[in-house]
Amino acid sequence: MAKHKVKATAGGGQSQTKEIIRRFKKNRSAMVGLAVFLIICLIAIFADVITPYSNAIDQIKGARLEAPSSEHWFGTDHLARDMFARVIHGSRYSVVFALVVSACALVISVVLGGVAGYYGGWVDNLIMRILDIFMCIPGDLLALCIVAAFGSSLPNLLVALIIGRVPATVRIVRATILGISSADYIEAAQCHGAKDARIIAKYIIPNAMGPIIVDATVNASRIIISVASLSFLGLGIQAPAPEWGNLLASAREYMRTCPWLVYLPGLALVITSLSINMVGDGLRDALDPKIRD
Amino acid sequence: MSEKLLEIKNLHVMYHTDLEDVYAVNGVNLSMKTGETLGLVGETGAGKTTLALSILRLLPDRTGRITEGEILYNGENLLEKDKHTMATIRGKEISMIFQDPMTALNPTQTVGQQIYEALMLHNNANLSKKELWERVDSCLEMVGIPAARRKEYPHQFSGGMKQRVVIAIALCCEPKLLLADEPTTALDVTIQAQVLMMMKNLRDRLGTSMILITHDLGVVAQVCDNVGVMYAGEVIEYGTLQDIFKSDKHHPYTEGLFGSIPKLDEETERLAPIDGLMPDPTQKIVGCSFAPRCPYAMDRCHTEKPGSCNDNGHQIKCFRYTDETAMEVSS
Amino acid sequence: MSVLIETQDLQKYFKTPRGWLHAVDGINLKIDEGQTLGVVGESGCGKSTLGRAVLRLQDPTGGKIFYEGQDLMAMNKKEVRSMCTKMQMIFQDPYSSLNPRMSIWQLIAEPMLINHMYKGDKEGLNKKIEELMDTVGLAKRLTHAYPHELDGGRRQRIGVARALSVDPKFIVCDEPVSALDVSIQAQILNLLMDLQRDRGLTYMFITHDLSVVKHISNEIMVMYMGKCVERAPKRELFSNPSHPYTQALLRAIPEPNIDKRGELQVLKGEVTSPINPKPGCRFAHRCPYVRESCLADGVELQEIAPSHFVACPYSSEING
Repeated sequence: MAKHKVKATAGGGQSQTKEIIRRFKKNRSAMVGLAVFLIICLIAIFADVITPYSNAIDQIKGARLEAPSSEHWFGTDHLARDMFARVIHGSRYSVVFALVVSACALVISVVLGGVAGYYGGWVDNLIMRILDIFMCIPGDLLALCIVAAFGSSLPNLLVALIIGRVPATVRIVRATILGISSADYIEAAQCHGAKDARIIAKYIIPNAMGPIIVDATVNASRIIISVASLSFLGLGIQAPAPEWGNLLASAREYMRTCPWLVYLPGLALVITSLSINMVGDGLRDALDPKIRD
Repeated sequence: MSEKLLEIKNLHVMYHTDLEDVYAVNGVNLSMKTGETLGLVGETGAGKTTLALSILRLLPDRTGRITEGEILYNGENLLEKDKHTMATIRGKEISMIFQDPMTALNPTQTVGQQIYEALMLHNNANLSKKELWERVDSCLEMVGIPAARRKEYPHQFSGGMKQRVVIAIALCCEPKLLLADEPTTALDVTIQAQVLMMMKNLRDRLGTSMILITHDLGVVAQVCDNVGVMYAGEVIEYGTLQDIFKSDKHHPYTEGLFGSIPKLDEETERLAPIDGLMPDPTQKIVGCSFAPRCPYAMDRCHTEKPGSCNDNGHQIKCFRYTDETAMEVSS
Repeated sequence: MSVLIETQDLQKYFKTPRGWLHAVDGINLKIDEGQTLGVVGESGCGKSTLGRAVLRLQDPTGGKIFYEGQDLMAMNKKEVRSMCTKMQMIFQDPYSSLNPRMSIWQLIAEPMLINHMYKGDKEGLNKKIEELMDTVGLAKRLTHAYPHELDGGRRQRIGVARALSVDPKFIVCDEPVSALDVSIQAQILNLLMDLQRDRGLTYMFITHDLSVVKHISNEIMVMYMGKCVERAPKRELFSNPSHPYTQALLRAIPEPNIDKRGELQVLKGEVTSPINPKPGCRFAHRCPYVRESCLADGVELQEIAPSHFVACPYSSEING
């Protein structure tokens, strides 16, 4: 079969990016995941239009622990706040954290992993051994320790989550780059007199982007869970902010009597995380040249 | 021994993927006698490997499909056999050597175990364990590997040695027909010579019939009795070694193939390659498949498929030698 | 004719867990301007490493390299980089040697952009690329195609155009046709020979295929385990092969000639890798004429006929 891969006619100028997009579009679950995630992003952006923030904070007199109704779609919580507004506004935390933390972790990892993978030798050893130390502690636990030690402010939380993610990502970046640096076209570029900076920017990074982007999406979905877990433990976003982990934590006591208080934010969390995962899986398949339809 | 061992009639194979349909084999007719070695020559994408895989019914399940034709082995159509019968035929009756010895062996088993397994699968004589292991040893020695090395793993063998192991596995059940797909392409010349000579000796000793697939006309000249030249999924010329290497009459593609090889024993200033490229296998070809590259192409070559001229068994599909048009394929 | 490339006692060793691998071990060569030196050998004989060491793509462990008398080993990184407009390379694998993310235009332009040629002269650059594509026989409509859309032959043409773009004088061709089908192989060989004739290029042509090397070279060097075992002008080498290895190599090739059927001569044993090699002739363990003294001391190249060098002290006895 491999023998017939070579197309005899050519000239369309169809770039690989187009090919990847075509393959991604064909993957139904990935497209569903993408659609769901985009909807969640839109909800996060237009949360104030859907329902003002005050609705998520202000208490409604005499409406404590009400079941979902036409007035309060998701019911009300133990402090008589509208759950619908709280879940909607909670999406902002998840989406923002997912994007900001995974983007920062990505940039740091590409730099560290790139240097380690391309130059090798003692630089590689130094970077990787330091990261090995971090790797000994699971990412979430590491983040937990940092927040517990330095206090749970927003910047601390961000830094903690980024540090928790970086070591694993650096490993993936480094492995990818090691593979690419041994390709013949890198040698060809050296043979044409290209300097290291050009080789990294024009040869290595474009070819390494595929697996790295896939890893970033997986990271994003993990980060949403991490933020929620930290908040659940009281170390993340502080109440009364309507973060999903907070909602779950405070709903714990009423799980028997008012299960919707747990189900609805929990469902939101699962759907968001799952949609990103589905996009990531789709990207991985679309970017892997070995899987050909 | 003039019985037909294998006869392929009007075989068509295609690969069907979401992206495109690839027409890999387009109406191949071939036959070979018991004890004969048939060489199949052609370039990448000519359909040689697909043909061999079709005989063993090993085409990839999801994409490969035999759309037309018959493959008669000892008069029985292999395409009508069920899965179970095919499994007993593979290895025992017909076996195959693949091009890449590096990936054809299981890295987690010793070479002895791998030969043992092949023997055990077709152990009709109910040999005991001990007898089977003795057979393993004799198989290894047959391909020139000391029996003591049976406890070693594939990675401890060099490329040439691995290919010997692969050959030992293929021949351990003494199949009647061996399909060898580029068995020496991945090897260095001196090792290639060793393996070729060994295969030749074993073939003569065991009386195995063989289909040797290669792109190297030199290998064909050394080992084969008859030759089929394949182009774009068709056998465009077929004949004995004499016909192919000595006759003046040739298909233009065969001429081009010979013109492309730099000769060792004569000085050539300039090679005479074939212009252009192999046709796109995703398109159904009207007329002669070689016409777009052919220096002698006439108008009718582009619209009609040439039939086969038969000159004492030397068959050439070209309008220069025949006026006949091929029977149009029912579609 | 003047000497364009010369090496003196060129060495390239690699460190392996089992010791030093002597990939290239004391190679002396000279290539005259406009000529082709063919380097033949089996896999692992160090021929590719030699090609890379000559260009200083892999830094030699020892020895000297001269380009028109300039000592390449005395140059710093920046100076070596500037030499790439004079010395270029064509790679074996037309699939992995082209960056899959670049179009043909970008691939051919890349060496010129790197070396600041046609700076600010987009029109001149476009014209040059068009010219190069025409020279190597690539259709103009392919300008914006990507490598994965093309077949091996066309890809290798890109490799040739790319190497030519900086107008080099010397090109190392590392098995440029090994990955191609015979009919395409012949097209590329013809192209390389035409280019040499028209532009006066000098080639170092590395291959495992003796018939190809015979077709294209003026002089041939046979390598075995990092050493040069025989070097001679083409006709001399083929009419009078003197080293036992060269002879074995020639007799191992199956020729497409049925009158020579059954003449394959089998050389026993296999190539091992030259890790911490013992003194003496490296071919000794496979040599049919081996003597005790072959294992003892280093074997040097001797000139047995004008420009015909053989690293076997007994070659005259063997052939006599």
